[in-house]
Amino acid sequence: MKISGIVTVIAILLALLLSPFSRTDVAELLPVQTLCLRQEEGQCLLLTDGGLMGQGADPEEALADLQRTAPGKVVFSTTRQLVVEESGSEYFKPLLDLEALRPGTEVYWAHQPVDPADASGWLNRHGVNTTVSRLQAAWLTGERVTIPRLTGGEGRYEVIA
Amino acid sequence: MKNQKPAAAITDDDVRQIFDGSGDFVARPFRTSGISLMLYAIDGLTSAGDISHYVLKPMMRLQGDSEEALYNTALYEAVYNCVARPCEDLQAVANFLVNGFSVVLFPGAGAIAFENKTPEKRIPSPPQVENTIKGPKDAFTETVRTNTSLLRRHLRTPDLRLKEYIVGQRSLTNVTVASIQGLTNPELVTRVEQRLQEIDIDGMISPSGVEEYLSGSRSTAFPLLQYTERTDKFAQGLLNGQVGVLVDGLPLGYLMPVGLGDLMKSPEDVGTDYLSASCARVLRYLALLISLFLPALFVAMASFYPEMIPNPLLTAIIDSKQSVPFPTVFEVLGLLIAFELLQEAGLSMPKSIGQTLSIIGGLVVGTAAVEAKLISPSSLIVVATAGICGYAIPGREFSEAIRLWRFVLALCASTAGLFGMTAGFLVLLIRLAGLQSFGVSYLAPFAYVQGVDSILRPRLKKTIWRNRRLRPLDERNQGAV
Repeated sequence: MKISGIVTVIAILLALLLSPFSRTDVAELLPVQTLCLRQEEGQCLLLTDGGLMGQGADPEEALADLQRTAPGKVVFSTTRQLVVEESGSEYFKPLLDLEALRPGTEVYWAHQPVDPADASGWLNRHGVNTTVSRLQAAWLTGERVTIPRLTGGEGRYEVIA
Repeated sequence: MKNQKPAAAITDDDVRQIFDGSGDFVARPFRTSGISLMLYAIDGLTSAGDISHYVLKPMMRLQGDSEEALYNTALYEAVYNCVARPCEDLQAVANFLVNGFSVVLFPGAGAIAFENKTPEKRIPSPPQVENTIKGPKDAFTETVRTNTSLLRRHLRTPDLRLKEYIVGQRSLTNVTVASIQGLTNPELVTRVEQRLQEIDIDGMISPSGVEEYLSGSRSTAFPLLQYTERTDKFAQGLLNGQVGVLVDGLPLGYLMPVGLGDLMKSPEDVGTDYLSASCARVLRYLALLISLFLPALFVAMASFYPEMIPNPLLTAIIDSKQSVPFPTVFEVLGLLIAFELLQEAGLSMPKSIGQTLSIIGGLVVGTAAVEAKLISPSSLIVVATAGICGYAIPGREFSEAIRLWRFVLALCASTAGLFGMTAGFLVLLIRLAGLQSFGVSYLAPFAYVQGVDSILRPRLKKTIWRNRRLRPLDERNQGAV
């Protein structure tokens, strides 16, 4: 009984010290709900509904810049909507290939700049089923999928399928 | 120390020496038919009026020419007292005296003990903890004879067996083993009796002493026998095939063996219809799971897997944690400790100020701590919810064991998230599966499909069979439906 008790204590201590699990307190998190992708001055720009911004030569650099400059840990796995503005269309597929977004993230197309903080509330109430996973599946099978177009602004939006 | 001097050789000095210096020891010399006799009693345990009227008065009118003749006349003819027992030796004299008997010594012939217990004892009152709306309101008291009489009023069968044992070298506590002949498994009864006879301690006074020695003192927080203050629940347990133990000085009855399903049952379940009782039981099991897992789940999700939390809730939690200096792990663990401290303080406080201080501790301190940003409201809500759910569990000791494991699981979750919580739960499950209560597995009800009867209360008309895991001699408890 004593030996097994000592072994148990040692095992627990080792588990604590060598644990591969990394902890991030929820207070440090900056969850993203709506992400906008655009291009400005030849740079890929990512804007979040929380007012964060990241830029770089490609989406990967932009994501890293956003993470670096944010006052906490940005969580992309909570993203519900991705709005791809016309200027940022060339970065769309590379962004999806990074697999930073959830497969269930809804995708919208916008001809004009969209304020993600402003559009986030409306988009939460008027979701569509054109998601990242559906688009990726369509690319693989060669199926044709129309991405809904987001129009409007200042709290009044419309989705045209 | 055993005083085995035979009764015929006992002298007045022998008896006085046992209680030498005791202020409540009464020694009354008297003469009858010219022969000197002695009456002994312990003041406070006996009724002086009963002794005077039913023992001394007839004794002083005894006729006989020797101590032996007086002895026989007193034992079989002249004294009106209901209970009269000859004493075998000096130890028996001492035992009778401390159990509320008066003893008359016939020097050279023997000693007779007459039962004259004082009527001063607590009368049965409603249960303090196990309250029901419709059930009986006669809870056990500290006097074992009162408890056995209460039991007999619920179970009037002559097959009810109440075997008495004296446990504790100095406390000489009367412990009664209750069973129903022809129903209770005799092996179970023998096992309980053997455990009692093997106990070699100074005194059996505290409930924990009873439980540890009877259950075999296993190193587990989970109770291996069930206690109740309700006489109806005790009687029902005997009818189910369990063995009962009543201890003099404790207003409780103990039932064994017991499993997890038994500990989750409330006396209110048989006081309402089976649908309401089943819903209440499901709610109770839900409360058990919430109480056990909620803090650990919160720590795991908040610290390791925030993506599991829906966005609006996550945003609310993040907002509530703004400016709080402590990470979620320390918050939850600290609040769990504070909750336990609050409960311990509540137990020690006098009733008159307990409620007031609880309100101050809970509301004022809690509110102040949240406003001072020392803790976040979300963590406080999680811990408070888990605590309240813990009180929905009927068995107090089982609830305390759950509180302990709640803390352990929260620690495991703080180390390795959901993996740690699951590992901790598996350890708990393995531990519970390995527990046995008098040869019956703790999780036995859930090993079979019939385990659903532990969660949902079946209709009483459909419960034809007793609990087969107890192996009762009579398996059927009612006629065919």
